[in-house]
Amino acid sequence: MKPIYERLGKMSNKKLQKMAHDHQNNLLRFIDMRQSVTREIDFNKEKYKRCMTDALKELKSNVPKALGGGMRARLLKADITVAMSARSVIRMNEFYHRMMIILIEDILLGVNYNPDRVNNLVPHEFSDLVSSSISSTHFGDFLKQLKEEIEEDLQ
Amino acid sequence: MIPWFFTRDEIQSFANLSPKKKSKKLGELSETMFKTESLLKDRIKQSRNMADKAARRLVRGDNEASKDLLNSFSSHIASTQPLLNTYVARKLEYSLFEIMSIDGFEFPSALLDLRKDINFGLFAVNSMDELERILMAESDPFEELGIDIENAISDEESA
Repeated sequence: MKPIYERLGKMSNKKLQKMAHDHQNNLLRFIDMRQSVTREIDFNKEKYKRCMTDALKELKSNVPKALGGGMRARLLKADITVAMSARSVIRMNEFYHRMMIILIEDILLGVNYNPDRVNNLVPHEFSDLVSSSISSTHFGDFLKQLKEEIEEDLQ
Repeated sequence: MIPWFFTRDEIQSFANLSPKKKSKKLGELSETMFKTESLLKDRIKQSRNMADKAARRLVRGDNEASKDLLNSFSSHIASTQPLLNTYVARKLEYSLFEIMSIDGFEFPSALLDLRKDINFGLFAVNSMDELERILMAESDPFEELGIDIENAISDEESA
C-alpha cells in the first residue's frame, strides 16, 4: 500500500481533490449497486425459505409434491449464489474507492503513512463478505430448526 | 492469486471495450440469458406439473400412473441440471460484465495484495468443471430437505 501512498504524496492538492471527488462518485455507484443486489438476495432468500418450508411440510404427506417444490428452490438457490458472488466483487470495489478517499484525505491533511490504519479497515469491510460466503448461507441451520419444529407439530 | 474466472479471455477483452460496445455486448448477453432462463423455468414448470400429477394420481390410488410420472420426473431433473449449469455460468458472466461497466471498476488484483482470504463465491472457481461440481453440491435443495431423489421415488413406487 505504501507505493500508492507515495505516488499520491507527489501529486498537487488540486489533483488530489479531483481524484478524491472521482473516487467519491465511483464509491456511490458501487454502494447503489450493492444495495440493489442485497435487496435481490433478501427477496430471493425469502422466496427460497417459503418454498422449502412448503416442501418440508409436503414431504410428510406427499413426496412427489415436495419434489416439485424442490425444483423451484433449486433455481432460486442458484440465483442467490450468483448474486452473492457478484456482491463480493461489488464490495471489493466499494472498499477500494473508500480506501483511496481515506488515503487522499490523509495526505491532504498531512497525516503520516500508517499501515495499521489501512489494515484495520480491511477486516471491518470484509467481515460480512467472508461470513456470507456461499458455503455458509445458513440455510442448513434454518432447515434443521424447521424440520425439528414440523416433526414436533406432527407428533 | 487472482481467481481464474477474472483472467478468462472474454473477461479481459470486455474490459478493453468502449462504453458503447460494452453496452451492446451486455444487451446481447442479456437476451441469451433471458432465453436460457425461460427454457429453464419452462422445464422446472414441466417437472412440477409431473410431480403434481403424480401426487394426484397417488391420492386417487392410481399407483402405476403415479410411478410412470415419477420416472419421467426423475429423468426431467437429470436433464435440467446441465441447463442450470449453463444458466449459472451465463448469469455469472453477465453479472460481472454489468459490474465491470460501472465507472471506476477495478479488478481484484488491486485488493488481493492486502488480504488473501477474500471470498469471491462462484468467481473463485478454477474451471467450468469446478463450477458444475460446486453447483451440484450447492444448489441441491433436495439434499437440504433430506431427500434422496432416487430413494424417494423408489419408496413411492413400492408404497
